[in-house]
Amino acid sequence: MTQLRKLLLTCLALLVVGSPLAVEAANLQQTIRSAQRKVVKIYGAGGLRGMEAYQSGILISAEGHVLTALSYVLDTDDLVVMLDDGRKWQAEFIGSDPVRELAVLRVPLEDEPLPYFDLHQSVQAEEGQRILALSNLYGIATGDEPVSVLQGVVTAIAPLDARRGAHQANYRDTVYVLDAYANNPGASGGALVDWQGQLIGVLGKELRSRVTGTWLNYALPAEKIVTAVDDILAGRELDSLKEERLPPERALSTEALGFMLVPNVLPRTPPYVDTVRPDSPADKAGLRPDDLVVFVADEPIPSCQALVETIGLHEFEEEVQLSVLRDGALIEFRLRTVAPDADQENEIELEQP
Amino acid sequence: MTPRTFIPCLLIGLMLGVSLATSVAADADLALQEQQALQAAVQHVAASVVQIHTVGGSDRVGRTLISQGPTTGLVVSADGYIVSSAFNFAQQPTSILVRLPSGEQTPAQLVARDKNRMLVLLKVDADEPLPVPEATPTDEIRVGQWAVAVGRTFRADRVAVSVGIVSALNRMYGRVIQTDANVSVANYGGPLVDLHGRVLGILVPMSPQSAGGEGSELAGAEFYDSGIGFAVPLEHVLGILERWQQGDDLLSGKLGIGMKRDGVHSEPPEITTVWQGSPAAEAGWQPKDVIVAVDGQPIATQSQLRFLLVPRYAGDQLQITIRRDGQQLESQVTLTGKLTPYRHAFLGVLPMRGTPAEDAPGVTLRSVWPKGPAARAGLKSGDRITKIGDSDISKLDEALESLGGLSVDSSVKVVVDRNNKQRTFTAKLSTLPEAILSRGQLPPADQGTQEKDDKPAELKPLRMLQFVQLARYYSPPQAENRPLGLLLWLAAGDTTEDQALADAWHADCRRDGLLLVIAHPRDETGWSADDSEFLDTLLRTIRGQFEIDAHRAVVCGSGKAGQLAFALAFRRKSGLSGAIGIDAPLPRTLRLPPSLPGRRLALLSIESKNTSFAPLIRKDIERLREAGYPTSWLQRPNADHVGQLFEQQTRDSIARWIDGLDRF
Repeated sequence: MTQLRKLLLTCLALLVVGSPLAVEAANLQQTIRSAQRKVVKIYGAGGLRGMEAYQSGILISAEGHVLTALSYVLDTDDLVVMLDDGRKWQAEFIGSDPVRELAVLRVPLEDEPLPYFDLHQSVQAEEGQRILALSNLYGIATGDEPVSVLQGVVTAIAPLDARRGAHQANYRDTVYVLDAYANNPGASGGALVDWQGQLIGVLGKELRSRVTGTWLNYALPAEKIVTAVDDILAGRELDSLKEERLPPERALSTEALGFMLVPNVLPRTPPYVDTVRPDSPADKAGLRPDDLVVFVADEPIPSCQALVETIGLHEFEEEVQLSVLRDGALIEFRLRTVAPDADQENEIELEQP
Repeated sequence: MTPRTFIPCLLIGLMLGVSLATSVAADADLALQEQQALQAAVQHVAASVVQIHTVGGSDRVGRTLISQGPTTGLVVSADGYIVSSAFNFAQQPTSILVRLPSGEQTPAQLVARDKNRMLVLLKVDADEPLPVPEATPTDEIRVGQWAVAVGRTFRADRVAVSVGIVSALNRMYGRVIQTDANVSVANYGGPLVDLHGRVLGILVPMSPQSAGGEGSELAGAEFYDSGIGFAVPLEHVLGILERWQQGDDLLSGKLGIGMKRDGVHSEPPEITTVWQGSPAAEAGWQPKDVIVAVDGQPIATQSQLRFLLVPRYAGDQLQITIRRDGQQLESQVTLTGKLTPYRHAFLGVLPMRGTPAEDAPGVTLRSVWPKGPAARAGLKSGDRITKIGDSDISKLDEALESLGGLSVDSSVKVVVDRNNKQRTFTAKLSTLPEAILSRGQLPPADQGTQEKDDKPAELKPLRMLQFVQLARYYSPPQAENRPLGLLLWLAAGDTTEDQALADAWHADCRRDGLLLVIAHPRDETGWSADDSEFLDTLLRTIRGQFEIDAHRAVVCGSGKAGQLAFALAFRRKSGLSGAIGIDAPLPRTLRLPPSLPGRRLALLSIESKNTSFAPLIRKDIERLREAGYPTSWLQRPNADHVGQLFEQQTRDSIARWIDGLDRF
């Protein structure tokens, strides 16, 4: 093992010595420079208390289409897009996707081929992969100055569970979580590329993770936005609006399943079962008072409040999988309100691991 | 990839890289090679990184909202021991669940905490042996080497990574290594991994405020993702595992000595205080002893001493060499986890105020405390103390410093000048008194004026441009070299009562040389934590405008304002020597700081006969006294008027309590 390691280190050392680092640096420089040319600075509404009047965007077509974040910055007739070379135009608002919080603008480029990111040619990244984030964060770059570049790795590829103030983010699908401080003021709409300069995603707005409580650095994967952008460009109604999960027509509740929780007196009252109604689905399944509910399906349940909310997302007749702690053991139940005319014995199963 | 197989793969990849690199045509992508090596290293330990869920507990600790998301832990033994960061359990959860590498959720027991390094040890029952990662030997860790922070928060089935380097070794007095990888709730409790897939350490938040383990589990979390992250070397954790598994919390080891606060990095570690009943007291150490070596390792400064002491646990044995009068003495000490609270020694005298005459240095006694140590020893008012123990005394601060090094119940020789004759007495010191002297026991302190002034007290505004809060003061006529006492009154927001309040205190202020400052909160509904910056600035402004007697500077409030008064006084930088709370239990979020030499804080708790807080207030008084703070208590008639103006009798008691605070 030790020898292997020595060999490994030697190889790495050889690699460093033998590698034409200057060439590589030059390549990285070219990669960055070429990517920067496809990123634009956007100036619009804002400028008051912590609301910057600028953000970033990327060129996505030879016809001057610019993809950016849907935000208050765009909320003006005087919307300016500034290209990498410092030229600026009044931008036309083409359309937006309120779920992904993206918008497409257009600048009147005529017969003038500019480099752009082709959303259909984007690549996927994996955890630990090196990335570059390009944006005009903090509005550092002005005029023809190239936008700022940050390097880092993809920390995680995970569903976005985040909020801005009290508001939950609209988009819930997968994002790239980054370890570069990529999502600061002005960065949203910027580009996430790999070290070959290929587009991976678009930098999102500033959000706090609900999982960790910390500010997130993240990007929307290009493959998750390409259809929406195509729809905007084609003037079609967005599919994404139909994707939103509708609230259940008739919501399920703990009462309907036949159990009550202890009184919810604290923000984090542990969800202990207080009473079980005789002959209810919960009773027949074997749920007992003092059981502590810890999971609904694979969703961890830290409090009474969380349990009530999670169960309320189910349709009335949907099966619910509950895991409870009883005497230090984890026990799983499948509960379902009794469907009319159904054979009750078959509807309620008890599973013990 | 199974563990270990990645290394050969990597070697092939790297050798390929070498051959390619020599050809100019193909750019050797060093970055890609490094990335793959780091990804492989992470996969090598990923199976040992578990996700943890907690149920219940409080939603916030202090003012910090605790997120409800999952957290991370690291397997440290095949039979089910898992280590994590104390941060993840600060909310004191009801139940803990660990997701094992197989995907199975299993309940976990919290075995014990490590309060020195802010870790917790969990135990799960696993059917199969759990994968234990290999620890990087601590002496192999180098600044600049790759370090990947790994957590399992965002997803249960995949680990999250952040890449950086080792930035520093031996941080926080030698307890942790530092990294610039992103460290936050997303990976606290997870491993910091090296290029070989070994674990450098367990990620934890830590800050200078948590040095010594007294601080909160949350200390240092404010530096999340800042480029400053810490990890406790896994090698250390494995080394203490057997002891930790016994189930007792590991506490920071303490000697029970105090040292000067300045010259930490330059001055030799000279003892100024020895705690009663501490390991240092048992070893027979005394003030002015200097520590010169720990376990044979010579030390020259206080900070060197801290590097050898702070990493140690209660129960650890040390061989310590001290120097006393040019001689070296050896002591074998066993560190303790809990010191009995420090109590200030009390000689039992009240000083005359003002600067002593040049030809008569020392502290002239205004009176001796009835039945106190000095009274029993035979000291009398008018005596001028010139020596306490071995220390010559030329002014009050020297007398306090000298007493600070002496223990309660010890006997001390006191030399006084009485009618130009030198006399020596021996007094057996006691603890600071809690009784309030009567008016007859408080002769004039050579300061104020007894003259009546029938005019209303003139209130002047204290202007602080950056705040909207209002503060006004009444200052009595002040003689030269006579610092004023301070009574900071946290009013209820109704400014119309200010004049009546000032008039009520007028005579007391003139007699005792007391500056009255009446402050109002920003919000009409009362004082809140948002006002604390204002109060800090207010205290600084007052000290900038007036010469304040540090021994008689108190803050007073009723109800919520009283709770804030207590919280304010316990903040060291407030520089206050007392706090008065009327119908005010201690704030529930207040962590009582330990009583320390060099800071004499006294409290007065006033209870209205009909207050519903009485049981809480009395419990708090016990708590304060146990922590070593002299706490006086008095009852007043029913609080029919909840405002700030109450009967003259209570006001007079407060004035007498303040007037006696410069006792020593």
